[in-house]
Amino acid sequence: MMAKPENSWSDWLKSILEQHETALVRYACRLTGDVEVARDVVQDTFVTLCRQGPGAVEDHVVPWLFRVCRNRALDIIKGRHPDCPITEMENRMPDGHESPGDLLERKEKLALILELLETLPANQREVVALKFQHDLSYKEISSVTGLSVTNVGFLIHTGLKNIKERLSVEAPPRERVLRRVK
Amino acid sequence: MKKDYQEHELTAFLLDELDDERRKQIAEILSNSESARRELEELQATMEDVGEALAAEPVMALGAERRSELHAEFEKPRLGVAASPALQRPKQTISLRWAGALAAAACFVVVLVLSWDVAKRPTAVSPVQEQMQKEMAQQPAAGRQGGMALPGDVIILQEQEEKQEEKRDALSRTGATGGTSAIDKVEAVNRSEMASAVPAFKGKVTDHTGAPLPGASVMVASQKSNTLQSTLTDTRGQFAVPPLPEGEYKIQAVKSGFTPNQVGPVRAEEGKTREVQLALQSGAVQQESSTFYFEGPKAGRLAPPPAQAPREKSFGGVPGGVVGGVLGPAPGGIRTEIAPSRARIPEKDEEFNTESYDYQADNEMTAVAKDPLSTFSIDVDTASYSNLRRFLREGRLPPPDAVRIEEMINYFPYDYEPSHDRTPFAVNTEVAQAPWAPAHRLVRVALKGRELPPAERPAANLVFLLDVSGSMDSPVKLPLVKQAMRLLIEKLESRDRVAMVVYAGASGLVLPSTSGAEKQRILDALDQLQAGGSTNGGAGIQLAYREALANLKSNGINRVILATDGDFNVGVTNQGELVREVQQQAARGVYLTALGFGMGNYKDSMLEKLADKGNGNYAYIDSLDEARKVLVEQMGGTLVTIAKDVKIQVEFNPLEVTAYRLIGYENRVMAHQDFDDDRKDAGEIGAGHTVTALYEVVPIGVPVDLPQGEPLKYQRKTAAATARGELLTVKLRYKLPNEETSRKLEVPVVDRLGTFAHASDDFRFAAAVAGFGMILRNSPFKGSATFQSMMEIADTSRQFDPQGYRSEFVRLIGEASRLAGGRR
Repeated sequence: MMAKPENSWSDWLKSILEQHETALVRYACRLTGDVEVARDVVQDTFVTLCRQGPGAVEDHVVPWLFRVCRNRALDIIKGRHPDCPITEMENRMPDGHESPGDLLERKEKLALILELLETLPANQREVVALKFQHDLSYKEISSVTGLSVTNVGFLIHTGLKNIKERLSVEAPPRERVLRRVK
Repeated sequence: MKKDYQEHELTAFLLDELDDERRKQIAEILSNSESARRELEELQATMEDVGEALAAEPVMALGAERRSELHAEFEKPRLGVAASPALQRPKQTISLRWAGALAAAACFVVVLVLSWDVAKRPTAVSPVQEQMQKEMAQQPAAGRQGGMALPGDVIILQEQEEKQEEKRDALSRTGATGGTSAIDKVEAVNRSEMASAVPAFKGKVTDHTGAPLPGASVMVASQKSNTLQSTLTDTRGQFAVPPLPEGEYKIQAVKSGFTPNQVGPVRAEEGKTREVQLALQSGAVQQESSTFYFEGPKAGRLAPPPAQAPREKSFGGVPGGVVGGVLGPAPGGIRTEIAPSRARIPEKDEEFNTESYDYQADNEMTAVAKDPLSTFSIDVDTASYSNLRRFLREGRLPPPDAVRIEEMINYFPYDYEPSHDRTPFAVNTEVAQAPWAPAHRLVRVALKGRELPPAERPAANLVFLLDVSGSMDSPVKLPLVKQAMRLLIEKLESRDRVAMVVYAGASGLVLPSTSGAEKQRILDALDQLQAGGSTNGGAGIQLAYREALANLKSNGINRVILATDGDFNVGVTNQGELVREVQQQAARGVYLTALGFGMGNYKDSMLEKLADKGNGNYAYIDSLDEARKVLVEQMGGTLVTIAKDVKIQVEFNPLEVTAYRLIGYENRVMAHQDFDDDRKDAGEIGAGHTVTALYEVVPIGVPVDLPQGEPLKYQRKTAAATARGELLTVKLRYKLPNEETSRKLEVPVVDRLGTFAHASDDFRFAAAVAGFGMILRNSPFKGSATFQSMMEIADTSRQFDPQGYRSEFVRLIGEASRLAGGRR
């Protein structure tokens, strides 16, 4: 049922790059907090993939890419000041054009969610992103992060619950959102 | 009624991460429980919000420069690198896998489809159906899968593996197309899944006015194949149930705010789609909720729902396991309108906590004038500590009732002096200030079991009783059980014997008693174990005991080692039977070790009770390291009992002590007269084990609030004058393993007025563990104890730490403190 690959190794690499580059940049950015560093990390990841040869990754390419990307990102984080500001944060929100009330409210809520996400413990934040942004299965997340599958399930749930609870307590803090978008 | 699921299982349910058996169970729970559905809806809404928020993050690409550098790198010729047949062309579907399981709208409808056993169905089969059945019979089973697929977009919904594959490919496109909204994605998935194979059923869920009810989850179960699938209705209220094996099914729609409703039996045909329309009356207040049950042995009878939520695993010769009774099949064949549901299930009042722990209030401060004796059985269990460590590692505080202070204290090795004579253990006592109440004294009573060199270990006759039911199919369960058992097996010698009994669908002896010399045979049997299958009432435990008795080694170690997640179905009376069985076998010399695994349905109190009654010990194993600790490092202690029925009675001197309190051991407290009664069962101590008990003592002259009650008139200050200076006397009773008459030891304890700072490291560390436990239990006696102060004590008293457990403990306090957010 799978298409026979008449494409070459390099074509395959290109298609994999095209498919996953933005996801990986986002992920690396979440880990490193710096989009330029994230781009370096992702570039390194693909160079590693290309040197790996097809046998090593086969059909596990997605978790493989995330795992290599993660390890590379963590190496870089270790080598520098831990409290480096997250430069990409300011760019998170789209511009502040006036929108109809509902849409604005929705946007504020989404912005708040991203903000709450940042307040989660690092492991919860990471698995929530891997699940809901990158759509990896528990098993894949387990293979990327080295956490057990059970633990992954638990952390995802706890992360969601935390967001849910804080969301219900905090009315959308308007000032903060405005500060964000200016 | 306890909750029968853990909240995180709802998340896993929504994300399609549960195994079949569990998914079914959760579906069943959802159809019965309004509160569970509400929880599910909230989680679902949060998932959608989070997904949307994350999808709205700006797309960041690598940039043209880096990309062209990479392309150049890709083009470089490489030796030995050719296109591998394993490489797959990416799929073009645009969707988020997880979103596929979610509804676009916030509302939630459960549609349950249950198969009818055709043979048992009492109603007549229509000619049309008969014809269909014939056609079905002619189709080879293998043809089913191929026959389902449409050309082009190939998705075989029945094949879980294939489905995952497809979705993985689907997901791999998401990165490049970040702009699509979550709702579009959901619809894309719904459409693609519906279009891709001929659904068994499709149709619409509406309210009573005919307006569509969007957002649905569909679950499919069948008695024969034990499958239960689920899907959701789309924004138009439409749903499609993936292809099902031929058979009769029931469909139920449940939605909060509406009365659940059902249709059926409806026949599923391969390659054909039945239209089903489900109309729900609004108003959930009446809760005319119905439950689906598989057809029971007595077909046609309307049986009451089980008292417990269905657990398919059964244990201990209980003929349980049948999931509920039956709803009378609707007359006639296919129905397209739903009759009002008939069975009424009251909404369950569910508790928050899903793992079960018995409530135990802290021991009270007792006036010596009122009761100068304190009697308890020793406890060498350690499960509570590894369990609470698991909680903390997962980022949450343990529920107070899961915290048993004596098990925490006894988790750690202490450097106590062993006995130098023939007594099986040495008694160590020490007195110093209580760190959380400096005016009070803390008294440690510690026993140290005689060390037993491996060569002196008696021959072992072990029977592993392993739970291999579906719920054990998790990396932290059966695979860990196997690894743990492997560790133990490797330590065995030719004089030892091992047998293996499993219980699940049927209990069976998978390895008859085999000599330790034949390790490979034992390991092979172990490797072949697989989790799976639902369960009937297997006589697993009887089988295990029978095998142990048949190979009984007099003067040896005879033990059944039970490994389970504790999820066995025993009703109250059966639980009693089980405990009695375990107790009787212990009297015959076969003891029980209970090992708890996994976290899903972990039933702590039951396992502890079984181990206690079985003269055994109980440990919770959450990692291979823990398995090594319990089964290898402490093998002597875990397997070799050097004294049994060990009871401690402390008599306080009223000239020195106003009041006292035993810290922990709440469920080990005994009646005073039982101390001298050799028929009363108590704890065992294993070789090398240490047992530590702490008393908080209020000395004479220190004011103390005591519970109300008239003081005894004649009991004051009657102690012998010579006893002045003695704080208390520790009396011990124990039996040697092969004796039935107890021996007695007495040790007087004098308070030398030492400060806490000058106490031994072991004393200080145990005090820190107790203090930490009291904080976690939010004990009224925690005094001035804080995470910080206990951490400092533990940190400065961990010189004796051969396995690093004390250092880990210090880190755990930090973790708990962080989780509590400085609240305690």
